[in-house]
Amino acid sequence: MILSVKNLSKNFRDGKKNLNVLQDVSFDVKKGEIVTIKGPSGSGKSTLLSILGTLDDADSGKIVINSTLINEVKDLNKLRNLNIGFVFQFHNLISELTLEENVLIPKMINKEEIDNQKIEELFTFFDLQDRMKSFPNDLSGGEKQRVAVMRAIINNPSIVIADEPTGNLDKENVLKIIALFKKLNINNKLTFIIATHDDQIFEIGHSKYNLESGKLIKI
Amino acid sequence: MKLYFLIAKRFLFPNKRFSSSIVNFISFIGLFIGAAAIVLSVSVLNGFQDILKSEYIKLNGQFLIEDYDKQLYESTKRYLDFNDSTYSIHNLDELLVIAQNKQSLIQLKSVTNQSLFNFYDLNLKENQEYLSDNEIIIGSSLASRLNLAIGDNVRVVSKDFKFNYFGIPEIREVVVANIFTNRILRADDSLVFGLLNEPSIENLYFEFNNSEAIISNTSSEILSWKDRNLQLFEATEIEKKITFFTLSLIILVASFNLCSSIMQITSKKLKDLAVLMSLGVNKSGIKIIFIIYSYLIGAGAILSGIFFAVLIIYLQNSFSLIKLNPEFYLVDTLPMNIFIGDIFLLIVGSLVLVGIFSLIPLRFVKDMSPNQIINRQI
Ligand SMILES: Nc1ncnc2c1ncn2[C@@H]1O[C@H](COP(=O)(O)OP(=O)(O)OP(=O)(O)O)[C@@H](O)[C@H]1O
Ligand SMILES: [Mg+2]
Repeated sequence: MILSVKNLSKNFRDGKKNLNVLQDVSFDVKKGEIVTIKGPSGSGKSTLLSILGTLDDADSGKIVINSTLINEVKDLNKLRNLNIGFVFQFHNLISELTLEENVLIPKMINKEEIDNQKIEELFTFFDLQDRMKSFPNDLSGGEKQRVAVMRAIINNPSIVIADEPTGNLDKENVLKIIALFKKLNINNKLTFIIATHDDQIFEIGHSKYNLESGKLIKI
Repeated sequence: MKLYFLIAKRFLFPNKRFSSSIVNFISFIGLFIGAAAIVLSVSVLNGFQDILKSEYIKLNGQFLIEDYDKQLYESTKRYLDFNDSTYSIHNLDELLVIAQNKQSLIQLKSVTNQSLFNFYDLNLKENQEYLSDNEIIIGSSLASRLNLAIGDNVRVVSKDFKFNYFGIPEIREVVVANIFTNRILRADDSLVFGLLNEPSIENLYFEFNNSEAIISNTSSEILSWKDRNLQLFEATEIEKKITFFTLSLIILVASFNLCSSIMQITSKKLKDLAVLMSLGVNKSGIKIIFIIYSYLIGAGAILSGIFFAVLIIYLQNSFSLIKLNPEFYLVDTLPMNIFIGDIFLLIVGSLVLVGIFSLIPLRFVKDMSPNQIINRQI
């Protein structure tokens, strides 16, 4: 089991009202599995993914990533750097850095030696071999999102967390991302947790969940 | 560190073009001007202080012992050599000079010929190697005030009127043998050199630059040129400090600018910072990026300001670019001199200031929450 979630709860205080966004959420993810989650807007998908990605704290519950209980981890930044890759609805590339530099950020944080040959192969795999030295603003939306996926997987993370990764793309690019995720899942044994409104991408999940009224239910 | 440096550099110069924001430019210019102004003004004050010292030493030597209790003379007379030109043993008397119908109070320094021409550096009007008993050398200001030329006769009278056996004050007739020029402290208005025949035990003085024999044989207080001009020396020192402090205010204001520049850039790049954190950069990493950012501006500006000022000083010293009217300024070219210590103090002080003012706007990082920033975007 690469990820194990037990009895996760999260409340937000909104003025005097108490929002129970997540109630007693439990589920497991195996290595190499694609998990997709859908649910109405405001149901808490982004909140759940933030907590799984250690960007936010749960009120209660346990999360074990790669046999590490994250409640006990001191340096969450390091854990995130090595174990978790994020793809957001927006590409969130740093516009002052070249695509190559953007992709290499996680490696540079970890002060790793950089193997130029491998980087070129990666860009070729993503069909962006000619754009390594370009800046994000020179690229189309679909291309930028592909670079964001590259950045998410560069450290070969235990889990790729994608929050509406196609929410901002046209049909053609949605298909490209879906194909890419499948390919990465098969070739690299990467594990995905994807929250989406898009039925097409929802369907690629080996396990599919619906999040509604704070409950996560397997379909 | 490499990543932080890269990001700071790119935030400062987006897309490799020098198109940084105007606020950055203003802080750069402010720090540059501040640093250059401090180095230049302090160097001018140093320059005048140097001239004061070198001119003063020409007439007075580096060190002085006033031999009040005759201890020095008694203990050293066995081997003191009046013909030694590495020091000067002399009497100093206050006298009245009378020329035609004008008169003036002067200080007569009676020295040996060896000391007169080898120890002191008088900048004489005419070449001379020997002064005889009835001759004196006066300063150029005194000469023009009393209307005296070389070869004129004057009378000198002891100020406290030593009366001779006949009850009339001792008056000596002497010849103006030469005229010296010195640029400071109106020395050439009041100092007169004469010949020492036999040292009187009263009013005996030793002036020397570096004489082991004297230093090791005295328990008397040794006064340096600084001690002898304490008020003037301290005045210039204080002036230097005030200049340093006042001009530091330019650097302070420029640091404020840097502060607002960092506020601007951090609020503009908030999302990028959140993304970096999601990728594993910790909060001190975020701070380091902006500290590097402000030091790229700050250290760059201060070092280039100092470099610019040192270049000016070098050019001035080599080619005398800035001329002065010697009638008013003692010198014909602006003197400039800077010490490593001054520059070091400036660099350390201003870099600490830049550091403090770049940390102030970074307090927001402490309670920054990346998922809030990423999930709330439009
Ligand atoms: N910091 C917060 N303070 C108060 N309420 C919050 C906070 N963050 C999220 N919420 C609320 O929690 C609920 C879940 O938000 P979340 O962003 O997780 O929904 P979502 O399922 O991702 O929605 P969408 O599909 O529109 O992205 C929403 O009602 C939201 O208003
Ligand atoms: Mg969401």
